[in-house]
Amino acid sequence: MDKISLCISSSERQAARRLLLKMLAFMPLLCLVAGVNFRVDPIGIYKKAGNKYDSTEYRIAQELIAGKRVEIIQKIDDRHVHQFLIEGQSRIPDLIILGSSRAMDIGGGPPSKTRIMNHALMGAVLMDYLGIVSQYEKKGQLPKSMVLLIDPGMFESFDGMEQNWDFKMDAQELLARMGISIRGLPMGALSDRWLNIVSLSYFQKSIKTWHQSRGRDPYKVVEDYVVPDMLWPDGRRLIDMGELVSSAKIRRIAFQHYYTSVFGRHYSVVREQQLKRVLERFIEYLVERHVEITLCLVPFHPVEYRAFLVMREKWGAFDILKLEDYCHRLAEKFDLKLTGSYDPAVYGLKNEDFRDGEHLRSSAQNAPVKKIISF
Amino acid sequence: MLFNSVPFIFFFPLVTILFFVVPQPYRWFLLLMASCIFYTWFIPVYLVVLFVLILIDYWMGIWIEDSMLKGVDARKYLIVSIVSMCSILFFFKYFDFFGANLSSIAGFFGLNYPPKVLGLIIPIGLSFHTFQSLSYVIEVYKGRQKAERHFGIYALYVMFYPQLVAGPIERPYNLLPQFREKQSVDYQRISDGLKLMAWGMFKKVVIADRLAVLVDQVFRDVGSYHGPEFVVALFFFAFQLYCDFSGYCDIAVGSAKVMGFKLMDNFRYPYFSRSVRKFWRCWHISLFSWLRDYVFIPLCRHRYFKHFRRVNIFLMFLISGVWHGAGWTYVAWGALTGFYVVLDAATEDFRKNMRRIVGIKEENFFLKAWQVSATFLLFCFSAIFFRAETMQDSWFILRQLPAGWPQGSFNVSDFCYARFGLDVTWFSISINLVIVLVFIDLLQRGTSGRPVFSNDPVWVRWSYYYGLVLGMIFLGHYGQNQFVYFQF
Repeated sequence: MDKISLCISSSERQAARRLLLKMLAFMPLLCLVAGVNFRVDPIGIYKKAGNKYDSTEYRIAQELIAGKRVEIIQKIDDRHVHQFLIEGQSRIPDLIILGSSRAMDIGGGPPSKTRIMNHALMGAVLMDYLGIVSQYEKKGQLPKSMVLLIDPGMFESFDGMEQNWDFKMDAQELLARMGISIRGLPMGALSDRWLNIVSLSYFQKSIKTWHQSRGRDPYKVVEDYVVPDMLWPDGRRLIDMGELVSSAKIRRIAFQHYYTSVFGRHYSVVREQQLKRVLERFIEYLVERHVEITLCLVPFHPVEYRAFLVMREKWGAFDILKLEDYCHRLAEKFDLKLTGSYDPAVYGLKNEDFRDGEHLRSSAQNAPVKKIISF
Repeated sequence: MLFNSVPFIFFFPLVTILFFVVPQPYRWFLLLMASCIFYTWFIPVYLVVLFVLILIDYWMGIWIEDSMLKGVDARKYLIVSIVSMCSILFFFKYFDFFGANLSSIAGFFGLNYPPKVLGLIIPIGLSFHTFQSLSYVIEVYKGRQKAERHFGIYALYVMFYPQLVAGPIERPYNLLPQFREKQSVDYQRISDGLKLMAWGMFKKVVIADRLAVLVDQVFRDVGSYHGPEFVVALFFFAFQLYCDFSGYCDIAVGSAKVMGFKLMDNFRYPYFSRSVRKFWRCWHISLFSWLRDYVFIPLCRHRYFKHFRRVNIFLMFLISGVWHGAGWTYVAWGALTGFYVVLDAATEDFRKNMRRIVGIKEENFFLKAWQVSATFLLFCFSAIFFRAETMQDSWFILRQLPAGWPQGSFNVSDFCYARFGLDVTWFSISINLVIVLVFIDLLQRGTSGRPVFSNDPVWVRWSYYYGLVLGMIFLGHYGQNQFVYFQF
């Protein structure tokens, strides 16, 4: 019993108390991190449903629904805008486009009778596609046609800081309806919702967001203002992505992307297979509901494409050619239309046709490229 | 679990508090469970590999001791242990490399032998566990360590979570007795441990991970760069590697210290070393002292090898290269490092005599500066092989080193952006951080291991602590970057 007697003596207790007091001196810093993360909350982890309708994103969505043009000035959560757009639409569009920012030009061709809604989201992953479709299902009807951008990045796990809590919940609901268990799926770190409150990377993102928006109106309604390079949900050009970046930067980002993505150094065949299975089930689910699907591939910047080929030869893990081949097989399997290619040479595209490693300049959209993007 | 991850922020205080609350006889169990949780955070199934390794050496240790007590030759158990450890290591780490080379050799002779690739992910820290485990069996065999008969405590010796995945590679006579001692709540010790952890974390997340951005960019795609970019990348890599590994070790030693365990220091300010030999006595001390004790000294005592002291030194460094990874780059790195050390030893007297003749005193500042710089440059040069992904990349870098240097006027900002795609702010922050590191190491070198500001007024100390934490909050890179040495 002696051995099992209480281990902390009174002097030790005193030392522990002293330590605790000193540790408490760092509490203001911890509180600062938690407070900023909670208050700025750039991806909406802690926003309650009630106050979402006071948000900038809600107001922007309302302006867009009212048919106005909006110039976005500060960083906003584009997922929330899309959520409100879907909620607020009086009619379901005929065609929706799902993809990352690389899909933003799709549907931007000459006006047609088809009602198009481009749901391109920054850094979209497969789970974002599911989130959008789930929101349409909640609304009661799916669009007749969908364009799915198939990109390497869509097989990332759902833990990037660009993702949104509501989308995750919506994606989970759709997964359940599709009969897929979320167990083991890379749903990501957002499941650790409250751990995130002290996340320093989230804090840095919050500070950046706060700094960008400080003292500025989040957006403005414009009349004849056409910013050259970016399209928004209704297919109008709204945001300029900025200057042309150097080849060195493109290469760095390409390699960084490779290393941090699921195809990277910690390449997981299991994860990729899992997500491909989810994608196939997703397509099957939509086909069962008579949705006409088109798979779309958008060319990469020649430097980035070459970097992908170098990675393929050198490490053999991520293979851009295999992915393109997979898309063709997928189209064949489900009898879908497939348009585009990752290879810029197919369309005769050069460095100057791109804004950065992944995004085409609108001025560079020659006839073959237009074939990909117009419907 | 990574030291630089959110779960560890909760894991560490919880385990520490429980450690002091739980009665001494049960603390080993708590630490063992905590270590299992810590390890399963990576790839849970590899816990089985670790347990197989522990079981083998646990029984070998006991059988060796029993045999020695009975006066029977225990060598067979030692051989079984060494062969088992090396086999496990070979299977996970070297099988694919060996198979690929065998296939190349067969191809050279016109034979068709397709390479067998297992494609296994190496269990995290396997090389560290095997060496730590081997050191126990060898010490028992040498009679310097009693066999540990408590399985839990032996398992804890291999699995103790602060040093589980990347060392320091502890010796049984240092660590095992500490698990039986009662650790108390000592204010000064805990405080020092926490400060060491904070400094280690700063080195990792603020300096190493920041420098890694450029270093990784260059070494992943060497074909796109030339001499100046390689020089910048090698300079940054030297500091990235140091901050990454010594940062990890500081967190490991600090977290063990908080609980009352003393782990060996793995780094002793290597970049201030005045010769290559001194450098390797200050860098990854636990590995190189292991190799010295269990490879170099036995070789020097061996009847065939004892006349070839310098060959033995070379062999020791060659083994250290192979230990680091299965690749010809590591072999080349080990060989080059061994060559440096042998050359250093061989020319030491000559250089001393030359200095005496010329009249340069050993304590001359310029001599010291030259020696420190030369040692650093030699290390940077050898790092080409250590960091390059393939031998082809290494040769390419060597060939390209003289190429691509700017002619005439030179704009740093343009250089940063055009060559690396990084802005000049990134560079200036990185350079300043390296200067801060060197400055703090320089100050710290004169102390006896306690933090450099320990005796300063309270406001100076707290400014330092707050600066450190604020630096981590605002300048840290938080992408869950693994520690470089985890791969070994």
